[in-house]
Amino acid sequence: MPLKHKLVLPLVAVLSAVMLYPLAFSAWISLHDYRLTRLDDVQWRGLENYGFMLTEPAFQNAMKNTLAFVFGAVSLELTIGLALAILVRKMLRFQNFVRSILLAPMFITPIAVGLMFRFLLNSQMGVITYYLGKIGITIDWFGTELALFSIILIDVWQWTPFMLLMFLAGLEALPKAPFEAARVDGAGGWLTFRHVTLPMLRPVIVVALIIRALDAFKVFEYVFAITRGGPGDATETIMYFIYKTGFRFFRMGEAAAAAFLLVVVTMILVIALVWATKSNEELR
Amino acid sequence: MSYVSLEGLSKSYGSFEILRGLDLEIAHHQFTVLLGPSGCGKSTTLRLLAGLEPVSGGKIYIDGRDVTTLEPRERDISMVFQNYALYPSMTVEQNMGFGLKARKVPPAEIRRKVLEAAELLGITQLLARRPRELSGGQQQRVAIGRAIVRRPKVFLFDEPLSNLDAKLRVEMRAEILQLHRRLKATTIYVTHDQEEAMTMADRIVIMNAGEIEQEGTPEDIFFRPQSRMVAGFIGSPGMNFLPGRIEAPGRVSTPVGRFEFTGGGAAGQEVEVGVRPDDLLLARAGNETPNGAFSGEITLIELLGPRAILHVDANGRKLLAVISHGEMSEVSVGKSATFTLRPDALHVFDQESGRRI
Repeated sequence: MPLKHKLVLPLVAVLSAVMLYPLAFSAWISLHDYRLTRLDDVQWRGLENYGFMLTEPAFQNAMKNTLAFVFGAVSLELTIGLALAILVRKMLRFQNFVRSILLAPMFITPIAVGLMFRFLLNSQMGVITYYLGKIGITIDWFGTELALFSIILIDVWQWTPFMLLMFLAGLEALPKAPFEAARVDGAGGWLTFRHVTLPMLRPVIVVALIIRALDAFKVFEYVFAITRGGPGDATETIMYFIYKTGFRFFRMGEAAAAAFLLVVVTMILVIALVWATKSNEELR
Repeated sequence: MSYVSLEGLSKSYGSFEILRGLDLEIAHHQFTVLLGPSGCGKSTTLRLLAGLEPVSGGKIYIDGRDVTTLEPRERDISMVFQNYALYPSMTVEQNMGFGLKARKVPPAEIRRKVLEAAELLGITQLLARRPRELSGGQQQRVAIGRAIVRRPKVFLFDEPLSNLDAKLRVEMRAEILQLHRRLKATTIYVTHDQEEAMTMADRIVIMNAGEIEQEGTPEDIFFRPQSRMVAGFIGSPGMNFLPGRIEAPGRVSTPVGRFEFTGGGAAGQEVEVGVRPDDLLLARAGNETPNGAFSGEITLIELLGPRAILHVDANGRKLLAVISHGEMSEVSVGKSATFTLRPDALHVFDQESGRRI
C-alpha cells in the first residue's frame, strides 16, 4: 500500500466509526422491530416500518408542520434579510456597528433562544405579552392557532442575520458597472432591483436558501424548550416526532424509518433547488 | 455656441485633487476625444459629466442647461463603458430597450427603436441572445446599441475599445466613426490610445495631472505640440529629446550639433529640443536643409515592413530615426550614418515651464 493511502487510513477509520457505522446501523434498525424495551426480541420487519410511518397520522402531521415551518421561516428570513442587506449597504455611517449588532442573535445557542422567548412571550408573566396587554392587545402566543407561527418568528429572529450576512457579501461582490449603466439608463430603485440586482444575486440567494432550509428541517430546540410539540400536536415537528418515538417510546425501528423518510424529503428539496440554479445558469 | 461646457470643474477624493478647475467648451455634433496618460483625470471628467459622481466644484452645462446637480437620468446622456456593463440576465433586446422601458415608452415603440438601432449596428441576429453568449466585439456593439437607441443629447464613451483585440479595435473604430457621421451626435470619447484619438477626433483634448495640457485638431496636436508633455505623449515611436541652449533667437545648440529652428527664444535660455523620429533625415542629395549634418552610430535596426526604426548613438545620446524601406541599403548596424534636420522639424520647449518657444 502506498504511503499516501496509509496516511489517510486514520481518517477513514474515524469517519467509519462515527459516521458510516451509525448510518448503516440505523438503516438496519429501520428494517427491524427494534425496541429499547425488548432488545432480546428483535424481529425482521422489512419495509413495514416505512409503510406504517407513511400512513401514520402523527407522522403526516409532523411532516406537514415541518414543511409549513420551513417554508414560512425561510421565506420570511429571505425577504427580511434581503431588505435589511440593501438598507444596511446604503447606510453611510454606523454600518459596521449595525452589522455586528444584527449578527448577535446568531451567536446564541438555539436552546437558550427557545427558553428566552418562552419567558418573553409567556401568557402570564411574559414581558412582551404584558406590555402588549397594556395597550389592549392580548395575544396567546403559544395557543393552538399561533404556536407554530410564534416558533417561526423565533427562528426568523435568530436566523435572518445569516441571510443578511450572505446577501451583504453577495451585494458587495457584484460588479458596479451594470448599476452605473442602469443609472445612466434612468432606471429607478425598483426597476434596478427587479431587473439588475435580483438576477445577479440569484446564485447567492439559492445557496442561502439551501443552507437555511436544510437547517430549518432539523428544528428541534425551540419546540423542545417551549411547547414540547403542543398544544396538542400543533407544533410537533418531524425532529421532535422522531425524538419522541425513539427516546420517549423507545420504538427505535419506527423512529429510524421516519428519519430516513425525512432524508428523502430533504434530498428532493435540495435537488429541486440545485436544479433551479442550474437551469438558471443555462439561461444566462 | 458651445453645446456642452465645463466651467472650473474640479474633483477631489479627500485631499487628493484629481481635477483642478477644468474649463472646456464642446460644440454641437463634434467628436471630442479626451486623451491622456492613466490617472490624468479624463475618465473622472466623463463620470462627472454623466452624473455618476458629484462634482467638488464648478459647473456643467448641456445644451444651455445647468445639469451640475442633476441625476444621470435627467441629463439626457448615454454612456458606453469600458467593460460594456451589459445586464447579464437580460437578452440583447431587453438590454437595449431597458433605458426606454425605464422612461415608460410603450413596448411596441421600444421594439421598433431597438430593431432600428440593431439594424444600424448589424446585430439583428443577436437580439434574442444573452450577453454571456456574445464575443467581446458583439458585446461592445450591444453596449453602443443601448446608448444610441435613446437618441440622447450627448454620447459618452469611456475607453470602449480597450478590452478588444487589436484587429477588432481598428474595425470598431471605423464603425463608431461612421455611426457618428450618420447620427451627428455630440460625442465625448475617453481613451489613452493616441492612435484612436488621432483617427477619430474632430478635436483632441490632452489632459495631464487634472488639467488640460492642449486642445486642438489632431494636426495641431501632432505638428504643433504646445508643451513638452504633449510632444512626448503623441507620436509613435516617441519624440527624441535633447537638452539644449538658445544661442540666439531661432538658433539652438545641442550635444549633437547646432541647429536653426522656426521660433524665437532668448539667448542663454535652457531648453529641451524635440525631434520626431520621422523628421531625422539621412543626409544625402535631395535631403538638403539649412542645418548641418551630424553623424551617429547605428546600434540596432527594427524592421517594421515598409519602414524601419534605427537606434542611433549620436555623441553619447540615444536617438530614434524612422527610414523608409528604400533607404535600408544605406545603413547597417555598427556603421555610422549622417543625419540632418529641417528647421521646422525642431520643437523647442522651455526647460523649466515645458512650454513651446
